[in-house]
Amino acid sequence: MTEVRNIINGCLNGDRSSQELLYRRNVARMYGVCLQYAGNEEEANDILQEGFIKIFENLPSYRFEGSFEGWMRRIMVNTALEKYREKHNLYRVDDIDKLNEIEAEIEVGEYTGLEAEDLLNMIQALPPQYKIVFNLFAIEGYSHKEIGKMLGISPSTSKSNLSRARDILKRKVLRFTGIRRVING
Amino acid sequence: MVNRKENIDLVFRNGLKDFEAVPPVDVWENIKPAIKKKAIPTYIWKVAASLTILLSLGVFSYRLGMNSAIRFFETERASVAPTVSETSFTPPALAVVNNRVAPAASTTTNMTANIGNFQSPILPEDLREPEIIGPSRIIISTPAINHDKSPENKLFQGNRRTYSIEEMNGMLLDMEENNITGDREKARRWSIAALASPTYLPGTGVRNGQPMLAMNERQAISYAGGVSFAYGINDRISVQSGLYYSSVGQQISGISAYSGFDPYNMSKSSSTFQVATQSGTITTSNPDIYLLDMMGDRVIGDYSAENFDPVKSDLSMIGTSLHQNFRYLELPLIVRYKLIEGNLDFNIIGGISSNILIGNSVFLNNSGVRYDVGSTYGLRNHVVSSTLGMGMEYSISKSISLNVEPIVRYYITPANNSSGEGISPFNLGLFSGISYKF
Repeated sequence: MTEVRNIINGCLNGDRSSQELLYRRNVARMYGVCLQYAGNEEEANDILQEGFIKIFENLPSYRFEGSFEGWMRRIMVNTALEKYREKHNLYRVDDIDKLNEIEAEIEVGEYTGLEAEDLLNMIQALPPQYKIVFNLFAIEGYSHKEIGKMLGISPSTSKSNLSRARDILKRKVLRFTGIRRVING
Repeated sequence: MVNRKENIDLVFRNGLKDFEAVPPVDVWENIKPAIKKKAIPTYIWKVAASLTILLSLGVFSYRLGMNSAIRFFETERASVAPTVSETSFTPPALAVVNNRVAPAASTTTNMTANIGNFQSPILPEDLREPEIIGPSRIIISTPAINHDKSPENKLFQGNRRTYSIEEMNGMLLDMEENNITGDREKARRWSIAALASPTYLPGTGVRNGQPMLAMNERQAISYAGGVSFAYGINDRISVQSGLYYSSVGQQISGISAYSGFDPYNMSKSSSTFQVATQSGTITTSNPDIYLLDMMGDRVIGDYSAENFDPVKSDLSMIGTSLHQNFRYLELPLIVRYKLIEGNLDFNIIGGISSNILIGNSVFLNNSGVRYDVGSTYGLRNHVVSSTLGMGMEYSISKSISLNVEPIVRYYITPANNSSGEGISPFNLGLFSGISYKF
């Protein structure tokens, strides 16, 4: 923690090596976050770049309360949201009952063979509106009310987008594991 | 159903929890110039803005002073000119020897005699156009200041009065003395003053302050004092500097402090506890002190109420509040503009100060016994503040004055380096003291 403090203080004093150190230490993890929200690598690079500029700009407001990584992650997510708002509008799905959900029971254990990159590819392939809601709800832990506020949609729209995202992901996972089972015999 | 939904969420959450990827190298190259530009501390702009305002105020004040002076001279000239032009002024038959007026000759026949340095512009109004009516009597015609001959304006109309030579000599002596005194007053450009003030921090005033922290923090007794010296650029504007000592602080309530913790303290870190405050995080350096937050979760450390009970361990409670104290040496650069001149002068005061941190302590008091706890982390060693105020100066004599100066101070740079927050950026003070002009 003291080391992180020293790096942050160095950055606050405009020390170039501290800035680079802060970037190098955290860039891989933050890039992982960006890739979850972006549609492709180019978009992820943009989010990463803008996000880190914001991190340096907002560093004086960091109060050393809570995890620094969590603080950086929130900035990255917010940057991704801004990018998203610039490009997309969420589809409104008001009637959740009409959704065609997959009824098959799936256990967590069935997915254990999946690599992080496989999961990332599945998320990235989601329609943008589903991807962002799924990320905010399932990965970041925001509530539908919070997501609604963030994206300017109603909580029910958020719920329906999440439900769609889950369905699509489950299909993909089943297909993936099915193929794997066939391959593995 | 619910579990199934949660399962798919968990799969992705757990699977991507520690996911890392290496971005292209050029991302950092693009970030670097952007943050280099942004890395210029904002306080530099603030200082520049303050200096510009001060400079503008100074120039404005100077021009105001000059304009007043020009208007004064123009009025004087206007009051003299018509009289001179309308009157065919014949130099009186006066000889001025060593500033003494005497008839140039024993008779009135030598009226065109030498006037020497006896020139009308330096004379009082009622000394113009003198007429010698005898060896020892002179008639002075008071010049008309304006052309308004209405009865209401009689005061400014011409008048005639007869002076004796002795009276004239007396008046000239007064003039001479006044000139000498005036020169002496002009020479008193330097002054030295000793001032002291209680200071007051109105509210928390902390940017982005947290209400929960603010609720339990209140200002402790703060004061400032020191010696200043000033140089008068002209009658109205002076520049002041000096050396002040100031002590500011606050009281953090709702924190239970116990002594006798040393035997139980197995903490490996240099600081056993950290306490979140609006002015920065307090870090403890006294291993014998155990801290517990009664109001929330401001105290962070290796030991908490869950894993250590101070009462069961027979620790002695020594207080329920902490005192944060910061001490500064202040080097001000102040510009004063004299707004009203008289026995009681009114000045506008504005400037900036360089504050050097010389003390940073956190302690608590128990029945007069002081326990050092630690210090506040991340305080800046150097803080720039701006000052704006009003100075009242009552002259006891020509050299000594009593001063009262209510001022507002604003910290341009935040006092705390690490959190971006600061001690209240506003600070009110009522300086009083004595000054000596020389």
